[in-house]
Amino acid sequence: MTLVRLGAIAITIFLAAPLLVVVPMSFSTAPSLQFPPPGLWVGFYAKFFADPNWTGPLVNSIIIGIATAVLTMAVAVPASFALVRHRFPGRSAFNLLLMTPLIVPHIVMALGYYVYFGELRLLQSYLGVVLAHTCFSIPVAMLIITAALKGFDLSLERAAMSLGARPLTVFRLVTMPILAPAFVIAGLFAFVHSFDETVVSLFISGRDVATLPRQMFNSFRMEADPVISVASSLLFAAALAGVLVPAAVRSVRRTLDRRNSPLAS
Amino acid sequence: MPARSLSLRNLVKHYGALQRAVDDVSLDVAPGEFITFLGPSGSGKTTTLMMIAGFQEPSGGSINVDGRAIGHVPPYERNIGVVFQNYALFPHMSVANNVAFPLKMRGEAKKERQVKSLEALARVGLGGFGDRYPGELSGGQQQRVALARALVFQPDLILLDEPLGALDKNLREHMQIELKRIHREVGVTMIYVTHDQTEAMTMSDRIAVFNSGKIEQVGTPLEVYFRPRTRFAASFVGDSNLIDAEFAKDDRTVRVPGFGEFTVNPGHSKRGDRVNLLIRPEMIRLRPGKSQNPSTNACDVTVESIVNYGDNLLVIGRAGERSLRIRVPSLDGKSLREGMPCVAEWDQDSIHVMAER
Repeated sequence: MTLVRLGAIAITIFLAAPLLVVVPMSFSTAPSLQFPPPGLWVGFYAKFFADPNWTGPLVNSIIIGIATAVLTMAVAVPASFALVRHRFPGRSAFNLLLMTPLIVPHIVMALGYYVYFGELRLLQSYLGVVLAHTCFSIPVAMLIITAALKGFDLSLERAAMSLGARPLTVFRLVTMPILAPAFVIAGLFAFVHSFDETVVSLFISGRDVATLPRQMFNSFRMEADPVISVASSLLFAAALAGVLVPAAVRSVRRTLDRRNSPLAS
Repeated sequence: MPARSLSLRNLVKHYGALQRAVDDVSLDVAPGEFITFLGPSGSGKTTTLMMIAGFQEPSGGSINVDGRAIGHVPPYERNIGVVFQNYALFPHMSVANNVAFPLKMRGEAKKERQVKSLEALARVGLGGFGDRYPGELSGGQQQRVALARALVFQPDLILLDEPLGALDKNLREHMQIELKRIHREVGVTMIYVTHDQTEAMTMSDRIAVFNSGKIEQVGTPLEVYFRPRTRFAASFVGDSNLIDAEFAKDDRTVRVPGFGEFTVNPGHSKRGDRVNLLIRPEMIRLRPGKSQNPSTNACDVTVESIVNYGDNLLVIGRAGERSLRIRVPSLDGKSLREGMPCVAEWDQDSIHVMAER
């Protein structure tokens, strides 16, 4: 038993090790990538935020991430409702088509986009990167939303209707709030995935719309600038927010509902 | 609360061309009545309820509340309260907001909503629970909230779809009594769907027995129990002995293959009619021994098995090819043993004759 537990702890540490190295390194005083850090300092953060070679890609990544999340949700929400709630011819083929980006290797897709977007003059444009990222995010968002929809009790909508709510009101006051956590999680996944995506960005983003991972890759190839560890820590923070935000949203909503209670005076 | 009447006329619902979920159902429900739709799953009782609620469009026929046709009115304009088996409480709203929801939909002022929802919660015995969330309540409490939410807006009817199905036995009995109390106090017309015949017997003013999309019988619990109109109604409500027989010489004597002849009360049958006889197990008396002078309303049986229910025994008595189910009070049946020869007797009044279907 203890042996199993020790093994589990060892594996966890081994898996988490890159984080344990990268985050402390971003606070290091050493002039090059070096572990353990000889001293702690926030100088690399100052450097990161002062250098347009870093802030540019950061802003690009944020813009592309938000646009990807919005576009993904605009497609994935209606598509999920259609897949779960309606039977139509070609339904399973449609489902399979949406899932293909999960199966096809990214490098293959990247090459495809490079050639195809070249024809469409979408290379080195925000739109191109956003479209490609959306394509990757849709399957994951759909998996999350369809799972939530399948678990959604239809009698809740019927109950609301019998109590006098019109269809749009039912969606606004019952369906949407209950599914909102799944929507938020799906949107965050899309954002984080886009924020994180490297292969396609390397192929198609170019200099002007370079994303943060692309800039990290370039920087690492040229000089191994320790500012890279700052960028890494930021990527990690974005992913962490993806995990923590849904819990925070839930507690805020309860507070709002309590304030709205007919018992509160 | 105002009590409304409900009238169903030739209601039909079919899926595709062949499958008739509800097949020509007509029924009149009096204002303030508690009526139960009783039947096995797939008998059309829930589909009928869903059409009354407006969640399903009838394929034919009409639904009237107090003479007003509502068959094509959308559910949100019907003013009908529905209680679902799985409660269907809004998980993201507090109990008070759940109950106030229909009032909010009707644009009532906050003050009104507060007074009425508190009153409704008190009515179902949950005063002081308004700030809780549905997830924090037990199944029985959640069902009370659902009931309060269905009562609070003074609906014309309340429909209950197997509302106690998810509760355990003790709680279910308790809720049956509560539900009847609330029905008495409020006086609203209630339509209750269940497949549990005990529930139907104990709670209803009248029972409508559903089978394969049709109503087989509508009557008070006692009528359905003692004078079922069909073999199905007899077998679905209560424990029963169903015996096919034929009228032998006059309108009082039936011949039962394997049992001999029984005497029944004279009715509309004539010689040669084939019928079903119903004898409820608790109406048969059992005494050890053999019959002295063969009488027509008794027969010799051998005790095949005895099942002890505590307050009573179920005895399976065998007479040749046939067997009889007999209920005996535990005290009277102490001396019975398996394999014992006995006489089973009953009164002529205890035999109910049904035309064969």
